[in-house]
Amino acid sequence: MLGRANNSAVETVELVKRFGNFTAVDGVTFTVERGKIFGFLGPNGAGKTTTIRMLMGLIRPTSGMATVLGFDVVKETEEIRRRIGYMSQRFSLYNDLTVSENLNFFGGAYDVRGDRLKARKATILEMAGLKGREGELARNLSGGWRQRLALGCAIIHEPEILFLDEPTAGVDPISRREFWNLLYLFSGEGRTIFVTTHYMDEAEHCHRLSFIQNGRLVALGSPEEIKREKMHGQVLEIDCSMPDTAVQTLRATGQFGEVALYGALVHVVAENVDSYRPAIEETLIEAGLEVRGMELIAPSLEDVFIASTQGDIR
Amino acid sequence: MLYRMRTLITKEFIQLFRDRLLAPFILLGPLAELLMVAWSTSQGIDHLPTAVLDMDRTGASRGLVVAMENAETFEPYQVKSMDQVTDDIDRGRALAAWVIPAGFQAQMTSATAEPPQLQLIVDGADVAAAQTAAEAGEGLAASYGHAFLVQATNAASGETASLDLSLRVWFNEELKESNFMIPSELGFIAAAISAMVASMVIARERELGTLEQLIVTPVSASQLVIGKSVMAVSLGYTLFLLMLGMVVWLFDVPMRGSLPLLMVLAFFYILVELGWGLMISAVARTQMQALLTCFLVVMIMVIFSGYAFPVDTMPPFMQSIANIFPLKHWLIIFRGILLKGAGVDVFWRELLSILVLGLFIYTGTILLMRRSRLD
Repeated sequence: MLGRANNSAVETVELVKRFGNFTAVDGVTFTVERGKIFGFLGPNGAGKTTTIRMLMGLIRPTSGMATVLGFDVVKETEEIRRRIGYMSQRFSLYNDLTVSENLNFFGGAYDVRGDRLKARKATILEMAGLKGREGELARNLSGGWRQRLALGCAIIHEPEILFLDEPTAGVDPISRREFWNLLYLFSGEGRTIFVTTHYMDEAEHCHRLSFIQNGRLVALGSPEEIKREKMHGQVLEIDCSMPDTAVQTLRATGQFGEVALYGALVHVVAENVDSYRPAIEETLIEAGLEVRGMELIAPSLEDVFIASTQGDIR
Repeated sequence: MLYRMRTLITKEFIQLFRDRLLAPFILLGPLAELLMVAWSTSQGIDHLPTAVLDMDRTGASRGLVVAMENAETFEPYQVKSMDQVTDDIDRGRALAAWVIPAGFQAQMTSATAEPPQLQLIVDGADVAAAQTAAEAGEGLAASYGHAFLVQATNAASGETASLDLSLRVWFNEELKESNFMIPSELGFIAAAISAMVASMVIARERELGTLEQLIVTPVSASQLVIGKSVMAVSLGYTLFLLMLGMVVWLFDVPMRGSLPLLMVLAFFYILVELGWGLMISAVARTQMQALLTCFLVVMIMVIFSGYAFPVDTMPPFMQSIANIFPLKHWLIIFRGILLKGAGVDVFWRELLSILVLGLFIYTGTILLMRRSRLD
């Protein structure tokens, strides 16, 4: 079942996909090493799903080249499909089949049968916490359970690579954490995970990341590398009244680098941002806002992401 | 490969039977419809409300009314004028009317006079009732005239006279064959159901996103389609056998030809029409789209194929269009086997047409499916 030896899990070279005049993916080049969790990040519509669909041979690239486990995504889709697992954001299960029937079906689709199927089912039910609920219809499971069953169906054949397209969309935080624990287990067996997400806290869990924006890669590397490379400056977190207004006011001055809303807080990112403190405070007070506090913090990926994408837009 | 096919087919049947409404609805709906069509067209029609305008008022005319009551086809009641006859038929209060002329008895018993003229008016808008009334009326007039004459001859001398019935069918001058609808219904529904079910179950996978999930597994699109087709055809063929059994045993529709031949050809025909369903499924994004497109195709098929109106009565241009629908040829074959006891030697041209059309349908289907798979 191993793919071609000495190959990366995924490799793309100048991958392009156009739909009419619209370029969804615009010359993307990256490599995913085997056994790693690779995070593919970007806002909605950036080209994440289009890229993943090309890698699985669901759509044909307009130009460029891509291989999965050393197999060409256009010419050798059959080889690829036997070795990969895929879980979409819709958790595509059969709602009118039971937990057990769903697993049997996907097992059959991958030619997993007999004792192996029995063993795999037992492992997956245990792992997903679905033991004792084998006879329940998938329809009656709530979000977290459905998600874990969908994962189980995607890995029933022990794939080399698991592709996950926004697997935690619409799932509660506790289920998300449990889900990531399962992904670590899977990755611990030496398998590769390719995951798209727009949750930045999830991105921190990945070994390697790439940021995609308007179809182009804007950053590639480990979370630490990306923070180091892309973060020119420090982050000043401001707690003030009416943060929306504060962001607009600070941006209007054009003096303080990147300004972004972070929850109910305002983040200002710039080289030597500490020295701006008095000027920022003055500007905000002038605008009639109440400043409750300011402090320098370690940048999160979200800061990096916003900094790099805003830089891209300019 | 075989294990994968078995998995795919098993799943379709689990889903079919898990849906408490779908299978019963698909099987019982057409059976109920056929039951109603068969009942209303083939079953004995009796107790038709019948207006009787008796202008003779003699023993002979009253005897005729009693004969009507005894025959049970007619439920006679007396009216006073011709206007009332017209009015009752117009309003649907009467489906038939007898007009007995003055001098009816005198003419019957006289050897020299013209044969007595009776008039039977039937409402041709209701084809089945009209035909039954007309046939029963002719029989009634003949047997009553004969019995009366025998009595009269015994009583008097040896002179004879016959009864002359003039039959008028109103609203629809050409009566159609009353058994026409049953083979149509039976020949067509099973295939339409197979096509519809196949297109809907494929569209359902697409709508729910499971199709994409399946395509990234080693399951090929053709395996998926075959798995679903096996289920759809089993369902349609079961329905066909149930309906055939029902009309032959319950309604005494003649089964004059070879039953094995009919069963083999019906299976072949269902496979051909299934192609339509698969073609639609290659285009439809949702179940609703698939269902509505199927309805559209079925409507057009029904109009052109002699399902409700004989193809021979259509304008020549329309007749040539009718040839591109397999249903048209199939109805000829089906009626041929069922009613006339025909064999392949009689309808080989129709069979060949279905085969050729089937090749066209499946070529189109495969092309459309290829196109819709990538992009």
